[in-house]
Amino acid sequence: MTFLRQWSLIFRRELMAMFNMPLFYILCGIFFLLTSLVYLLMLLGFSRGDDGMSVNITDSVVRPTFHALHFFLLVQIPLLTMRMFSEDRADGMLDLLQTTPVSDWAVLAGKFTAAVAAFSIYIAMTAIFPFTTSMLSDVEWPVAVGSLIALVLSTAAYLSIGIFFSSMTDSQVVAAVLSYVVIFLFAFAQVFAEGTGIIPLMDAARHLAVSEHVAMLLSGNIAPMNIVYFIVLGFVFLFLTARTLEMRRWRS
Amino acid sequence: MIEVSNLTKRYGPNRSVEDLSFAVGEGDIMGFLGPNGAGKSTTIRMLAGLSRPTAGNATIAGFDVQSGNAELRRLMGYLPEQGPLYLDMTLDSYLRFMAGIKGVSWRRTKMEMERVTEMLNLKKERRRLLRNLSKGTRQRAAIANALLGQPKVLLLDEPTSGLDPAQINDVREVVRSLEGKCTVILSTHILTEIEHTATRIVILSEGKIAAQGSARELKQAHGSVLTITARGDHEAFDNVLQRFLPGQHDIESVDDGAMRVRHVYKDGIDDTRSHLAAAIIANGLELLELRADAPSLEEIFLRAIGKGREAA
Repeated sequence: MTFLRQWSLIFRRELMAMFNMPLFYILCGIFFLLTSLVYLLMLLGFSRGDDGMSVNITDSVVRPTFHALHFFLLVQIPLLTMRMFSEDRADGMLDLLQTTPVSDWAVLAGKFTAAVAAFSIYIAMTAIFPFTTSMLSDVEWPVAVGSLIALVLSTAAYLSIGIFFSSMTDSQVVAAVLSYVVIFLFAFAQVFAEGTGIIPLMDAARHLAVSEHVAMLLSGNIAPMNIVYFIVLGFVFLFLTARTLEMRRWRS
Repeated sequence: MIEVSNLTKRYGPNRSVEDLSFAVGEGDIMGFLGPNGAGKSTTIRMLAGLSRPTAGNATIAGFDVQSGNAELRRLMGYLPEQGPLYLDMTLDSYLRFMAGIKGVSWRRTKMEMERVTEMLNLKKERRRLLRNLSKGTRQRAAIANALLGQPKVLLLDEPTSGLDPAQINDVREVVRSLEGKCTVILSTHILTEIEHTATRIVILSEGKIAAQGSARELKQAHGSVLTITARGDHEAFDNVLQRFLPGQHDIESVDDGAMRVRHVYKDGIDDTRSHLAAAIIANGLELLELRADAPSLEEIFLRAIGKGREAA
């Protein structure tokens, strides 16, 4: 009960802070502008038969749109997570919270779930694309649902990475830069590994790269393995964040 | 209530706090006095469980401050040096949030918010956004937060920073009203703040305790100055002084042929003063002045930190 109350207080506080930020609305606007543009271009290309072999609107429009959505999301996430702990660290609020009975896990869970909730609004709005497409032609719904699940899961994992780096520094800029580096490494591990030509590295990257698991979900393959991957990735960074908060107390 | 034993904090080779030992009884208000950089905030952070001591230990209500015990945190109110706030919240929503975080029940939250806003004279500001409040009002809001939930122990790090004289007086009254109800450690470098509120004073210098005790004990320990000014025969004056205040006296000449001597004493000499006055008059001298001055806290503070610096 105590944990739930503490979590709910932090969750509501963080959600409110997110909605109070002009940056949230600016990024939201940019996100929908770009994704709508991509969607319209794909739709236009499909109607003109640009690729010359498109017979399936899901493959030609829905899936590429969601690939673009995934990329736009991972670009935005560090900009919104960078303040989550850095700001509290810099202005002493984290110190104050750590002298109250609230547990580090309640603070972390509150902040993480608030970020997931805020981004779920983004993602829920992207459902408009498969729905619009279904008015024009038949959509493969497992692919559309898999795409939405892929976005939610990958977003949650990226958020945990962003929150982790935010917990490590007082500087929001440093938190954002470090988050970008690690998120891009995870997102495109396979591309980087292929560049080296080392086969074991390429194999490892295939399992570790977010893009691989996202691609599988985008193809409608909602296998438990893909879902477990994102849950583990998210949990590892949340655990590291909790350890960072605990260590901070003893290193100062 | 608070026991500190050989508490030491070093940052690499730099010593921040060295071998501090003191105790604060239940309901006492302890003034933590020292120049900037003396180690006051470091000590308070260690007591708040935010910083790990390099050596020594401290307990609050029997709990080791390093334990991170939730029960201990429930007992404690803390005001960091720069009272942090969520500036995008109204005072009411901030206090409600913090009351919840501190585990104050829903039923008590409203009463607690009424109580602390009344104490800090913040009733009119309750619906205002914290970012729109003046610096002094924000500081009072941070103090109100520290008082939420009626903590048994209150750690206040520079509570009056940024306040105007009237607000300083208000906060001083609030702290004084806590005597006997709450154990308070109040850190400051403003002497009057301590003199009027603290029942016990610890003076820190260069990370070490330079002096400690009640204001009265400190004044006694540092000695008062008895000033005697008389006119008449120099030898007779010296004889009278030797009878009542044995030792070497430096008798200085002042205007109009008067003589003045200053004698530093530590024990009470109330009886001696009246006999001395009578003897001066009986010896045909004209007594112009007989005054005992206790040293001000400022003098004690300056002497104490001077010694601390010499020792360091």
